[in-house]
Amino acid sequence: MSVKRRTFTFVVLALLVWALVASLTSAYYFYLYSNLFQKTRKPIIHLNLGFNYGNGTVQWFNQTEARGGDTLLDITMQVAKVNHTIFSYGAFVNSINNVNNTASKAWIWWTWTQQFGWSQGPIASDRYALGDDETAYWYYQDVSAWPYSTPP
Amino acid sequence: MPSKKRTNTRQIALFSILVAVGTGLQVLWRPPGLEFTSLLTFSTGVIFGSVLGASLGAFVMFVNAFLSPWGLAGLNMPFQMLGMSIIGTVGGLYKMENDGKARFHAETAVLGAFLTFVYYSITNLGFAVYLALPPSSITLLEALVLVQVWGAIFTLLYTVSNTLLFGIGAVPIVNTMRKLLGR
Repeated sequence: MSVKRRTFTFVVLALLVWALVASLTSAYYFYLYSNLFQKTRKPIIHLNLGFNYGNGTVQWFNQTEARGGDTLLDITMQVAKVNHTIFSYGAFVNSINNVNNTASKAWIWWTWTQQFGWSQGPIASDRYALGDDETAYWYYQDVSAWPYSTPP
Repeated sequence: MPSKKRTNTRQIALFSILVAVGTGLQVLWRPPGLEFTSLLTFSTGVIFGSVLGASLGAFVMFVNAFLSPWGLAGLNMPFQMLGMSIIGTVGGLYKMENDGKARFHAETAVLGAFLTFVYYSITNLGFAVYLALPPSSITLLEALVLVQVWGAIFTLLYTVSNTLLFGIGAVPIVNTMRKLLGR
């Protein structure tokens, strides 16, 4: 392959990667924006919040009222005693209602959708705005092995 | 001029070291957005050819699937192995002359970006398969689009970091290995 042809190939390859990565990144931010927009349209929302203490005790706060745009941590603190630490990636929940994380057990949050079933929270609870009719669930569970087991 | 026997011994020794380094890298903690396995696999491919490059890539990702500090790869393991073996294969196909010209830095930077994008597209396919499994009601194609979009920031981070790593590191690493082999 001549140097000119080789250079042309690499320039095309670079532009291709740039176009693909830029498109995906734009799609990602569009998805975040649309999601947040949809969740914060209503000033007052109602959602279901559950706590599973890992010992058979499950507590549900159905149709809990909150402000549109409130995060999961805000709403959890409305109904439970929460101890948390703020890190650069967001809040880390140390305990809920005096049930503390240990080396092998921790509070992990999940959401329920008809489409996917249970999905583990992708970000810290203080960065996740809940939407109207959404179901969130705190599960005190074994975190010594990954992937974590889905709530029962 | 080293004898053929000595060259073979050096090749075996160097390849063994590369396998050991590749395996060791998998158990080390690293910040998200930074990994050295692709560069190592690519450089191995350039020096030892596509078959050994691909084999090393597949092997280290097999190890990664069990020992990574990010957790077990599970269903994603074959996709990670395939992705990394493609990087090793392309390394073997890439013709880098033995003179360390600036052109090769630019070319390897572009290859780093492209191969990282290909790798993450393949591993995202693995996550999409996982996401499309029951009880999920979405199709594989829908899952694939979702996962590509959700994983965009990771793809971007790794693409940028590997562009820099390949652009800066591939040429000196390959030249050093060639020197060690007396080529």
